[in-house]
Amino acid sequence: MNPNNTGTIEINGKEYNTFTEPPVAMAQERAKTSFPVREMTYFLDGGEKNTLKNEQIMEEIERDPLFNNDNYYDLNKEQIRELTMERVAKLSLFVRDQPEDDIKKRFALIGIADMGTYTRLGVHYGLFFGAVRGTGTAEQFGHWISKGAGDLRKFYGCFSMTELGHGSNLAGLETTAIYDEETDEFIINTPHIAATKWWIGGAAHTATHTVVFARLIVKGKDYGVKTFVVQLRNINDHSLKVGISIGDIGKKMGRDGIDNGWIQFTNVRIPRQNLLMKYTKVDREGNVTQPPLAQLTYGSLITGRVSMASDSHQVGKRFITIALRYACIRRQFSTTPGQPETKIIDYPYHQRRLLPLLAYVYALKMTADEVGALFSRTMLKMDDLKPDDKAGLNEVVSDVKELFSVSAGLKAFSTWACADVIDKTRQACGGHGYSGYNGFGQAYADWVVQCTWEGDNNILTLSAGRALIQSAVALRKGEPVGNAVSYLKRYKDLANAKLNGRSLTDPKVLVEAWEVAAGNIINRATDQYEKLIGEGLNADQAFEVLSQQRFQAAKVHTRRHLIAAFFSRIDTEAGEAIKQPLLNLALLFALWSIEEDSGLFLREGFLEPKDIDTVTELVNKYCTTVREEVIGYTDAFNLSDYFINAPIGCYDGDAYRHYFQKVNEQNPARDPRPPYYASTLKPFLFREEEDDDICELDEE
Amino acid sequence: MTTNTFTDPPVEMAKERGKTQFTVRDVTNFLNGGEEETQIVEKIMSSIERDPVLSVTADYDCNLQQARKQTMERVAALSPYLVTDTEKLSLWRAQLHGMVDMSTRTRLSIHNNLFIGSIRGSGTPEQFKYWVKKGAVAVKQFYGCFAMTELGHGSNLKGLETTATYDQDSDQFIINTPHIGATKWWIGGAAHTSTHCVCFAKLIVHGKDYGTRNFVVPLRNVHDHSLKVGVSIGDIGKKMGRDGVDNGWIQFTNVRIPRQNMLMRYAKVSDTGVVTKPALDQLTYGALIRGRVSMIADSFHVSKRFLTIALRYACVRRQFGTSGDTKETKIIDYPYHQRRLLPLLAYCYAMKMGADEAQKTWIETTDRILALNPNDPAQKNDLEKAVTDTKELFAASAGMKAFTTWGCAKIIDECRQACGGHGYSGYNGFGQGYADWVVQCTWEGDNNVLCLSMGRGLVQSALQILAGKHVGASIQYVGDKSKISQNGQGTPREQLLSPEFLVEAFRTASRNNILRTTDKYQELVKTLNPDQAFEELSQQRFQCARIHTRQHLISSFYARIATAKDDIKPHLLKLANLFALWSIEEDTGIFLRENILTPGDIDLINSLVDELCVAVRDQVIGLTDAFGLSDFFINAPIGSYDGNVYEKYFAKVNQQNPATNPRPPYYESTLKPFLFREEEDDEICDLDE
Repeated sequence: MNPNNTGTIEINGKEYNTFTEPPVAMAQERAKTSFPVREMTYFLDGGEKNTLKNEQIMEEIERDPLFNNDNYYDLNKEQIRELTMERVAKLSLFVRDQPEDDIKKRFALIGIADMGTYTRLGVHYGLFFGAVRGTGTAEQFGHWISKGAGDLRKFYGCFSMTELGHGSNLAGLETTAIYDEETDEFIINTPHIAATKWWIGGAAHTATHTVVFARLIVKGKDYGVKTFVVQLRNINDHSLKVGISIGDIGKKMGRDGIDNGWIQFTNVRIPRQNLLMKYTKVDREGNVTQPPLAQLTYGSLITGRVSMASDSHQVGKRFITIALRYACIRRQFSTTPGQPETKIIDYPYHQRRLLPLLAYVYALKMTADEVGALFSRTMLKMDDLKPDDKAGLNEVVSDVKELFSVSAGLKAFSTWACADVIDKTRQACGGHGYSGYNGFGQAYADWVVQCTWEGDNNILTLSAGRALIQSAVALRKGEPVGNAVSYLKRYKDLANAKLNGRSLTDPKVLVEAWEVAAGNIINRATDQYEKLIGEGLNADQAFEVLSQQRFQAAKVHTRRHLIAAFFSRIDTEAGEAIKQPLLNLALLFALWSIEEDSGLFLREGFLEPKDIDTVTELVNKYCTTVREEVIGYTDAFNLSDYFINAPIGCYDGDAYRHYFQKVNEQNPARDPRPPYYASTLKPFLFREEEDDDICELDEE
Repeated sequence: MTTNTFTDPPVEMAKERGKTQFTVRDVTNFLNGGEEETQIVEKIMSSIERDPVLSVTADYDCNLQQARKQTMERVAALSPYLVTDTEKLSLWRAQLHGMVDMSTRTRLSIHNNLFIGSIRGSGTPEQFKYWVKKGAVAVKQFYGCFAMTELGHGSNLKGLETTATYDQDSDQFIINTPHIGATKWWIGGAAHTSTHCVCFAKLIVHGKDYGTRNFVVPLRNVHDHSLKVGVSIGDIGKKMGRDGVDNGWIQFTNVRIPRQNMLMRYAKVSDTGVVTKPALDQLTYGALIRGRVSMIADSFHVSKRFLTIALRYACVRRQFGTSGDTKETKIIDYPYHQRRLLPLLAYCYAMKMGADEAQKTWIETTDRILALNPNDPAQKNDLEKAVTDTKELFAASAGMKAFTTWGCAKIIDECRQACGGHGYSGYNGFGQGYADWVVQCTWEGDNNVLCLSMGRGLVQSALQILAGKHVGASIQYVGDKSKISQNGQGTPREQLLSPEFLVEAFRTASRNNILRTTDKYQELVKTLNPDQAFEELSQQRFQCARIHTRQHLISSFYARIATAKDDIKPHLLKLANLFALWSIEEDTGIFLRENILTPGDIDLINSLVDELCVAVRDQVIGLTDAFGLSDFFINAPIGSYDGNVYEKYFAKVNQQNPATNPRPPYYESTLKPFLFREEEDDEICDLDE
């Protein structure tokens, strides 16, 4: 009808408009994929077998009516708490008799679609159960299993660590467990309101028992914080045990499905045997035995960190898929007069906003897998350890230490990266990113607690930085250090390394660039550290002074790790058909990371100003290359529309149809008057203001 | 006196407050623009705080339905001020109330700024009078909304597809939605409230398309709120935030409106279908600037609220011990915690200076434009001057809007993280604050798009400068020679702390970036058209806008300090230096690359940032008290004035969630059957083979 109508788009001789074009555009985009998507999925999953298992589990979740997420974004807190409980009940059936690896897969996949259920079950199986298994003796573990802790019958556990006035600093906790030798009991007590257990997931509604962190006090002596099992509620009627007070923490930023609560203990008595005694033991006479190596007790904390790195990938891939699919069908502004508007994926700046993040999401997977495998090997070694194997023990302790610092940095930067991915992909979807039905808002609110719990990211980063400096100090003394920091051994080479005309698209050169950046930061911080120690500061004080340096060291070291792990996994596992597409992503990630932090490389003299221009050109180039395959790269994540749960990111690209339909399903347009029309709106629109009475008395 | 974790906080807060070395009221007055302004602000704040309808005590537990109704009640409570407030008072009221209740601010502003603003800005004076008579200003039997965005099209006005076809026979326009992709979408006020809208549609007369224009279209019958014939409206439902705003969608099916409902201040259509286009089209976009300017101010107001919470909490919260202490260390005393928050405090102050400057320029420019008649040839010169100024303001406000709304989102997020777990509690406001806030980065111009367009404007200005032509004051520095010559020996400490040097360092960085991008542009346009060349330079345009805007904030901050009273000057200077040096630290690549600073300088700057953090640290309570926010506006127990955080937080949680029943509401239906379940064994077939 109208030649200037920018909504008219012709494809293969047929006319489409803004509403009808998207699925056709999506099919065209999908056809551009030059690599076998299925092979890429196998690569990401770690082989065909894993992919098939994932698919089976995804299907089980998706087909279960209880896991229907059509209404998910419109549930209020009360509704979602109840639904979450129903889902927990269902999921617990799978936990009972399936291999541990499958359970992990199921949890991770549920976590993409419903973070609340994942956590609420995790409160029992990850935290309570993990603590009893990890810090209880074999007999104690057997006892709690017999009580129902294994299959959640007449039993639900929670994990009472944090207090109102104290977070993750175990040493500062104030709840006490005083041994009463006469009755052979511990008396658990909350000394004042700030020592109230706080944020305890599962406490407000569900839990019958808890593992409580309290100061072990025997004969007036404080032995520090240990873990105790305390029953919270009577099993038969869910009423509170004597001395227990519990309240609901109420509204949170996200994760409404979890019943976080607070707990106060007023002289609650528990049998001595409820102290978890794998490491610290108290006998009938009140003799306390402490473990030889405290580090070994931290193993269980690493599990959480490793799985958060992997979750960061899982959640990150969902949102990058939504934003990239939408970018391939959304048109906005016209670059050539008279032509249809341009697809937003074709704007160079839009590519720069999203494609490096796509590469980042891939990189997270490689590193999470690598650290996960290292962790499993170490745990096996630890389990196999003979009590008299001194050398073996030293090796395990050193491995655990290294894992502790590697996982700290990885947890921090991957959970932050995922938060950033959710936030940036939302903004990349413009207004529709703000709609509740496209999932960004809820996911961000649900996700970001990952940056705080199980170790605040900033604190973890600072502690990883501390460990890096300690490794450098050890190296200077000729002591052995772990693999993750072995590049520091080449200190002298790194100090003066330059690009010297080598290619910036050679993986070896890029890894070296990051080793130079990280190595020099760590070594410079170590110089400063040794100087401060020489000036008479103690180690804690010196590390405080070097806070900014520690943070930087951990940041750059972790980025180096991500980049090296990405290239190395491609090298060892990628088949020919997907090698180049993966290399394009890894190069984009490494180069973009340099661009984002160009100061580091200029400062160390590895790059010169003109090299930075080259880096920018290369980032543009790889964006252009990767752009052609974005549908392939994201299809390879293998998420069905159920897991995407965002109409603008659905597989077929028919974004406006699905989105319009979803909005109207959830908000049927029946009455143009709001529910409060008669009570509020009408009286307002039709109000008559009363005039102020004016006193009419004339003055005399 | 011995205290414990629970009783220690208010004692600590009093001690911290006692460290303040300046008269807090002086800084408050400096921020507000004088004692007289402070008094106005305080009067408005107490009128908000005392109104029971505006009480926000239970807001964090409202669901969507409750929030919608409550917001309507608040709109009603605030509506009398629409008539009595001056423009200045109205801005203050909206900004102050918006700090604690962003939904009400938006829902009211949909009518008051977007609808009324369009009628006033794009309608003729007679048209404006007509709609006033219908009740538009008094909001009686009238509520307006603003139907611009479409499902398939955002802020690109040219791409909109709704049509307004002139029917000469009936002297009417026919408003029509051609397909679902052209449904008006996100229209605040449409789902529940509005009787009328300003609709953006393509003007089509005698088959010719004259581009997008504004039309007033009645949506509902006034007496019973039923929909007008041909109007379909639905509810957009759940959003990330701002639940109190009833965003809706609207479809028009051949809806007829009188020709006079087209807003004709600029383009006109006569009863014979003759279309007159305005002499200067740009002026129609001037109205968009209002939104940007007020978002800069909002960024400051919302930031100051969350910074106050995080810094007060940091002064009473203890976590971990450093060697030798019996008590844990206050988190404000950790160098890294200072680095997380104090540069952001400085950033927040800088936003205020930038906001005031932008608002002043905007008011002057608008007054001038409204006084001019666009169709009077005698006023051509004045008009052209006004257009130049508007254009410049348009570009400057784009960058400021983008970076201050992003800055504020970052501040809310970082402050939340700095409060650890308690930042995640609904009752400390961060979650809702973030969810409500971030739409500011998208609406009225997506921040990225705004930055790119500003970058384009900067290159165009540089071309003007190179051609010897006049450019506005804020960009003239691009034509100056840099006063910095780095010989590789490094920069002395005094220089690195001197405002002149720091402003010049940023100007040099910005200038070099803009000029290098301009060179590349001139190279590219030899073979490409300007649009293509600018697309190639997207990354560079973004960087230009970013550095120029940071430069602008830093120089405005220093300029404003020059007007401050002597007793507060040193404290403000520390903040400004912290902001400038931290900005360099965040962007070392630029300064090394442009040879403005040496690697050694960067090390020195790292330690200067540390030093300034320590210097500002003792004044944080004074510097945040100076924002003048009562606990009502803070609305977060861990950020309360007296520092009694645990008592107030514990009380709040229990008020909102009385602990009466240890069994959840779904105990009988769900939990008990689960805990006491008996699984049925799978039957095993007993037949022997």
